Amino acid sequence: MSKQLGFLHNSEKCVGCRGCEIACKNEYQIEATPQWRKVFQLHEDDFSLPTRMFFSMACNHCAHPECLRVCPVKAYTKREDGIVIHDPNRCIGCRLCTMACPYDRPQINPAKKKVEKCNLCYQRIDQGEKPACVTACIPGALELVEINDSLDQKTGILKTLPGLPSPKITSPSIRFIGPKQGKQIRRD
Amino acid sequence: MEFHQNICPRNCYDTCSIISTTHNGVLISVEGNPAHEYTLGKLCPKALDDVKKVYSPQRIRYPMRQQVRYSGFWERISWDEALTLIAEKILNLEETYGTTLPLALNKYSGNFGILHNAMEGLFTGIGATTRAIGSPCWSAGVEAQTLDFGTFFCSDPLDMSKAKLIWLWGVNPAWTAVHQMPIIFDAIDHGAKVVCFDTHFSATAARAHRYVKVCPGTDGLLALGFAKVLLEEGLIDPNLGSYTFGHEEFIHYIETEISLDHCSEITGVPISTIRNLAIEYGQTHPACIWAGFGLQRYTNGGQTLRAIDALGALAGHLGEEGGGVQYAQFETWRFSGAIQDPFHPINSSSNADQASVDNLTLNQKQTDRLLNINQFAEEAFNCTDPPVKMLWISGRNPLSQDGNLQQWKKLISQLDLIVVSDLFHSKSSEAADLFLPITTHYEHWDLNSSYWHYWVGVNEPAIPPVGESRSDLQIAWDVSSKLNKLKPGSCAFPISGDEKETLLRELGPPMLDILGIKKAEDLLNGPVRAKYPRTAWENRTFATPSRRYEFFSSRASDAHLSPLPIFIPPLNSSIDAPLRLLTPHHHSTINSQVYATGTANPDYVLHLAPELAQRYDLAVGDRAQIWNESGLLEVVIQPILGISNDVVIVFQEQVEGPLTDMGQLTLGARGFALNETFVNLRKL
Repeated sequence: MSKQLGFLHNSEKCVGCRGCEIACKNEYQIEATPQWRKVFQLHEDDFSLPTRMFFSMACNHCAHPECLRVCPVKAYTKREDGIVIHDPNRCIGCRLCTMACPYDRPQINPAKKKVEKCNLCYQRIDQGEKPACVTACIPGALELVEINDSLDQKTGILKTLPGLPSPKITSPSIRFIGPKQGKQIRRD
Repeated sequence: MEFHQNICPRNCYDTCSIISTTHNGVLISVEGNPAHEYTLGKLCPKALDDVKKVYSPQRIRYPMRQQVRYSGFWERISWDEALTLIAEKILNLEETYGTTLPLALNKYSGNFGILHNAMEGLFTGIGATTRAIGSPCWSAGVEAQTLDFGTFFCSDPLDMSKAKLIWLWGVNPAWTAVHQMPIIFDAIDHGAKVVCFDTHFSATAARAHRYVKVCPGTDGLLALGFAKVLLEEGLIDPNLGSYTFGHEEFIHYIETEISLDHCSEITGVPISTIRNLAIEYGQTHPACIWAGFGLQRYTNGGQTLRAIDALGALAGHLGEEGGGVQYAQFETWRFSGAIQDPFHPINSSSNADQASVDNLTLNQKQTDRLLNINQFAEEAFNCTDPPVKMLWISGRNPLSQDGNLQQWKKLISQLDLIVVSDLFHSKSSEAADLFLPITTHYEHWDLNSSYWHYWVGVNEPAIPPVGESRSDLQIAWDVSSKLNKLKPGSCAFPISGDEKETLLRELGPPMLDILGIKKAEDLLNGPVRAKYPRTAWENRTFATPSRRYEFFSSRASDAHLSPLPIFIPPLNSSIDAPLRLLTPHHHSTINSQVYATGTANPDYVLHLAPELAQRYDLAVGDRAQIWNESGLLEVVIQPILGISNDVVIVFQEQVEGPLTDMGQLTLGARGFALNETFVNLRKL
């Protein structure tokens, strides 16, 4: 593998508008139920003060993808640029990958009885474009990045957020800029 | 594939410019227009979901009739049948009462496009009618700014990126004006500090350097407290005498009437915080305040905004690049108004197919009966001479959004005919007799302005109307045509025409001048930014009678309001209704308009502080009831941090409420003091 593409998500800038979710659905005409990309709110209990922070997550195109490892029909492949591709033609809908993924991102499509997931808009990337979700993000909270040591050495780049599974399981190709909490003057 | 220019017509700060794509006459995608400096090629999820909305299976495609109200048994009828029912009822009412006043129109912002004002034009063409006037949204603030500045005018939203200090006061752009967030982030990246004042900890507050929780309805007092500190610290603009009026009186009021102890006690903000923030505000230039709509939906809302304006003036932030006190603007809405007025001179010179106006009855010379939109049901019910007998609801869902639903029930029972024109069934259509399917902005021509940024543009149809839907303008022509067929001369509104020509007529000389274009057709090339300066009041010449910023407003005292901004306490809770109910906007909705893919929640969710929940023995997911004298609502409990113990929040649902203090002068009717609603709570 020559490189590893992935996402950089800035929780400080993400306002939880869910534009990325809809942009993804629009790009692929996904039915209502499967959500390749989903915006989650961070659990407030994990912080000292109330927080209204979100993160947006699709397939993390892990360095060690569990979906790929468990798939009995080799529906998953990993490209040279690190993108994990799911091939619906091979998929038999056994759901092993949905159970194996710590992030619950392969989604079963109940109509097709097959799994589907984010393929990091590889067809757009191959044409030099950015993924639909990144293009749609109004506050610029979601970026396409190359996951490498120089990124990880930058200050403020986190490998995980409170409440997420340990990144040691699959080495997900997502990095975070976590919430910075301002001063709160409250009367409760 | 073809591309079309559209504009999002929702009642929203952002008014985005959209590029839509069609293939073989089918709308296949919508994207933000990259050439628009505020939209910057990006859309919020509400607009991104438009393709599904246009082709939604729930969308009503044919005129429908409901024989028994609330029955839900709708039958499809033809347009001719629908128009005949409407026209016959209008003529019948006119004959019975000798006037067309029994005919009422209740229309607001379901679609803010200018051509939707055809409904007003139709009603004016019919004769003197009963109208809902005013605004359920922003009236008190509009009036406050008009008293202070002479008109309400804000800096270009991009100006905010130049601020060194931004106070977001009662505004939650993360949820209601997403395109402003990157501008605020830019300012932060350039070193600006952001302070957010709100009644509850919002998604915007979470991204500010400092969040200050203010007791609901006390923001005006807080502003006066800040002003007091500015005086004490000698941080007032030494040049006030050259461009403001009445600053001595205002300073005297602050010195004698405002104490920081009292201010702190009432607002809930510690004195040290008031002092530190005020000093920072007085010392930092440029400093911008963005005052939201929520803080003026109180019985003292107008005074609150006047106090905030006065604070900005006192510190010398008015007219400052990247500073000022921003609320909204209405300067780019100076359309000709020809569509609203069939008698407008522009119309007589046009080649529109004009109805014969020779036989106009005396009715046209009578004046309309104007009812406050915020008390519409009550006022319409009380009309006796003559009573209101027919109601047309357009671009509104009052049975979901209005305060007093019991009054609505009474009004509905006395009406002979209720017509709802809409895209989808709604709470209001449940009570209707006729449903007329209208087009979306992808199916008709229109013209749109924002009340926040300064871009104006033409919306062009991308696809033919879905089903048998028709534009409001087409419906107005058709009703006029039917009326004139049944009784020649009964309606002066045109009986047919061309949508594009009609919109071009709205761009009269003042608008062309504002936009800096030579002819109306130039706007067809794409949205244009009005040629107003980026910074409001940059030369500190104001539009008030004194041409100065008016701390002291004689127009206010003429209207029996205090000439100076003063603190008037908001309403208090009572033993019967101890909790204040706030109903702010949710990021997924514009009032009762939702987008299809949203995670629909079957229940109203009541957000409250964990401690308060405990006090009522409530846990997450419990069912409970909130009630007051005007109604009750079943809710599901969701404790969250960042809310005070005297406040509960349901995001955007119907509530009952009194009126704001201001709004009468500028908008003809006082606003809706939505946030002065109190409820009781019990577990179910």
